[in-house]
Amino acid sequence: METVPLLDHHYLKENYHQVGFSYLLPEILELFRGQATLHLETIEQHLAMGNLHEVALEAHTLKGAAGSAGATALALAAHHLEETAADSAISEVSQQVHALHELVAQTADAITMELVRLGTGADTDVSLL
Amino acid sequence: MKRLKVALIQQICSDNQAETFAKTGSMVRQAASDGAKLVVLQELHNGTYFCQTEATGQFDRAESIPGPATERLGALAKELGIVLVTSLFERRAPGLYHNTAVVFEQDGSIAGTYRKMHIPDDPGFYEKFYFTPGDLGFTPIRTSVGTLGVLVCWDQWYPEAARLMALAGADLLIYPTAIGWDPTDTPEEQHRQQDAWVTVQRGHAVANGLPVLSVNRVGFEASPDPQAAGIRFWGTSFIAGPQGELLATGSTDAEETITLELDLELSETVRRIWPFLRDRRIDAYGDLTRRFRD
Repeated sequence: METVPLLDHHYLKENYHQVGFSYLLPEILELFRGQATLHLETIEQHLAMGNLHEVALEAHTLKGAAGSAGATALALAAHHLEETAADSAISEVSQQVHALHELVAQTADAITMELVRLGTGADTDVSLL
Repeated sequence: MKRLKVALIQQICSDNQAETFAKTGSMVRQAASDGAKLVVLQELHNGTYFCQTEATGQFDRAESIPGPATERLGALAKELGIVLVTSLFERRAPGLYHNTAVVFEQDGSIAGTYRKMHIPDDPGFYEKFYFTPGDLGFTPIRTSVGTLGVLVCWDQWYPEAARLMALAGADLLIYPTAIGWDPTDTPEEQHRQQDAWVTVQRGHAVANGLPVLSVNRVGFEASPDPQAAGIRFWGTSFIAGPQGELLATGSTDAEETITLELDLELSETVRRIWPFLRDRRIDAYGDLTRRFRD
């Protein structure tokens, strides 16, 4: 079975390693790392109030942000939550949100590692672009 | 700040089911109307504490899960939009019964169950006759308001149970309980027992850096055995914070609802200054799984 990556390096390379734009990548990743936590908190707040429609709406926003930042696994999980939350039992949505919580943490760690890697100039071709 | 308003329902139970159910419903409704999103009922709240004697007829009280009781309690949780922690006498199969906590979500669905693991058998508390020890392990129940480490009564004397719940990610420890005094004991002995009961659970809060919610039955229940003195359940339901601090306590002799708003982020703050989980010597604890270190 194919494993979905936390960060899609191919996607990042295709979309951000371009002349004149590569400097944006660390900034985008850092911004997304903070935003993902905020989206998750909002989802958890809606869940605590039993507002599953709002959970789905916020999941949609998280999905889009994650997709733009190459956080593929998180985008997929958020998409699933968006698709199912409104019509699911709260007990099922709670399980999904808990998994999402762990995924946000794992994605944040992956971003941290990627930022370190970029900071060391590992992608020299990027820094030169 | 992540806050959660919780309520503990401390009540007197009778075997007039209509009356008991109505009272439970009324107290839960009031708690929800006061803003509680998590409401916890005491152990075996559907009637009197039947384990004072051993009688096969008492098994008739048990119900399957799901069953009529979970239908009724799930509907209550759904009506009020609360997470509800309940405690039922579960009939799993003929001759196989458990003392089971059932947690309902805000939409009435069952978030999870926990079958009491430690079963007592001491004078007036003949539970081994009725309940098979749980087989679901110490697994916290994930809900919309947090991950609940639900344990039941006698479990509260075992730090291992609290620790395993904490290690599995519980945000709160919750103990539905039915404990009381033998009325023939001296006041000094009664005080020692009650004090030990509170102290050991506050210890779980401290050792694990999380809040403890303990809700106990209250009032006197006569024993079917005319030679026995009955039990005076001592109430004293309480909420302790992650440093064991007593945040709210009920009385020893009255029905009441104990309500409090908890700061769920405090556990992380406390664990950063008291990182007990970090310093556990797991390489040296193997003998904890032995009955005794002969």
